[in-house]
Amino acid sequence: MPEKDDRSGKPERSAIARGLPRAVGGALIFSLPMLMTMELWWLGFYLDRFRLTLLLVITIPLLVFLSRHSGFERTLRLRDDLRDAFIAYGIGILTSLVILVVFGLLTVAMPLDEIAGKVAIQAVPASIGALLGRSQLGGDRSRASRKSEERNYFSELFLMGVGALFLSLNMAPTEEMILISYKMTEWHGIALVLLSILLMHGFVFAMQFKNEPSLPEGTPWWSAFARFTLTGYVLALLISLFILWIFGRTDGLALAPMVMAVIVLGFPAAIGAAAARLIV
Amino acid sequence: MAAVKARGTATGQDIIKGTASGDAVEWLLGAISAVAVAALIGFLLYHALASPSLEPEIEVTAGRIGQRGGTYYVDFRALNRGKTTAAAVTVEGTLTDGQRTVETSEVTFDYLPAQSEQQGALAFQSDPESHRLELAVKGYRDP
Repeated sequence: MPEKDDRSGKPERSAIARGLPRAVGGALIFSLPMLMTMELWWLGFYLDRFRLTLLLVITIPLLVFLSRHSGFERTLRLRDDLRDAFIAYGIGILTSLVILVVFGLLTVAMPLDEIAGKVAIQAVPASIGALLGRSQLGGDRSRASRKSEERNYFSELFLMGVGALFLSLNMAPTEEMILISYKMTEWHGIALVLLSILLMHGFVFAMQFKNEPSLPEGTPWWSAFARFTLTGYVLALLISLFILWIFGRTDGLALAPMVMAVIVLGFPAAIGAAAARLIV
Repeated sequence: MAAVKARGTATGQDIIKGTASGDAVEWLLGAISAVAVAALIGFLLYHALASPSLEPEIEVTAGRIGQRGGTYYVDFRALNRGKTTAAAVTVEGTLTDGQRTVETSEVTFDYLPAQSEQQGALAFQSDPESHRLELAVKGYRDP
């Protein structure tokens, strides 16, 4: 794909036309696992409306950030990022709607509230996929250098947060997630915490070979460990807690089982967080 | 300190952005996270070492009785005081009139997590207020 020479953020029409199928592809890849999970269909109608709205609102700044760091096209102004974020959100909503209708999961007999809830919850991963699809599913390699130029410590953390959010969104609604935490003893819990941190540090270590400005070669391991691995893991745990709360999994739960559930969900969240920095 | 130096010389941009205060924030977050992870492991260790009771202890308490659409509902709370989670917890409510059983009703919770509480309701056709109501746990299994 030829690089656009104007940096005003005004893309050619053909560039958008090329971007849309990629965005839909990205939306599908990211949301199909969730679209085909029955707990998520149910969540669409029993999820607390305030929590669902909060999740939907939080998705907006998250998409704007993602647009800044990958996304549809070169963006220099916040306005362009906002536009790209809402295009991605729109594609996410539309893709989810079409797939849910084709699966026969949305019928005219359903109340509008249930239909909206089911589509809304799927739109979150789908819109993340739509935004990333454009930048990840295909050429445009010339932008790689720009991406790392603009990254700093906090954008790295934000990126980790997006990765954690995405993977935990996939896992949190399933019953297996909560069942695993009930089957584990505290000793298993400690082992899982250590394993999560170890794996995350493996990713952080791999990052040093990616010519990362915030992690140049020669950074001592404990520096990267404290600044990225531990901080990233705690971030993954906080996001797991947030997602469990959004899905109503923490209601009525005592502290000890809640901590176990957070650790279990924190495992995929940690992997998602660490992998996001390598992939995006 | 080596890290700070390496950062500063990595790229031209870092010299502008990677000020000393920026690094201090990174280390501060790192330190807070280290304390949080240590506290988490400590919490798990404490619970692993100090939990002799491994059986679920389930307690059922009846709450408000309401009538909706010709059916009476008895709200209740099931509390698991034990330190392990019980699955398929069946709660049965019985309405008796002297020796005679008027009506029974039961409901099953998929999970009753350790030291946690779940709420439910039992449905009756007869008015529970005019009979003797008893709630009992019928059984549970390991998750």
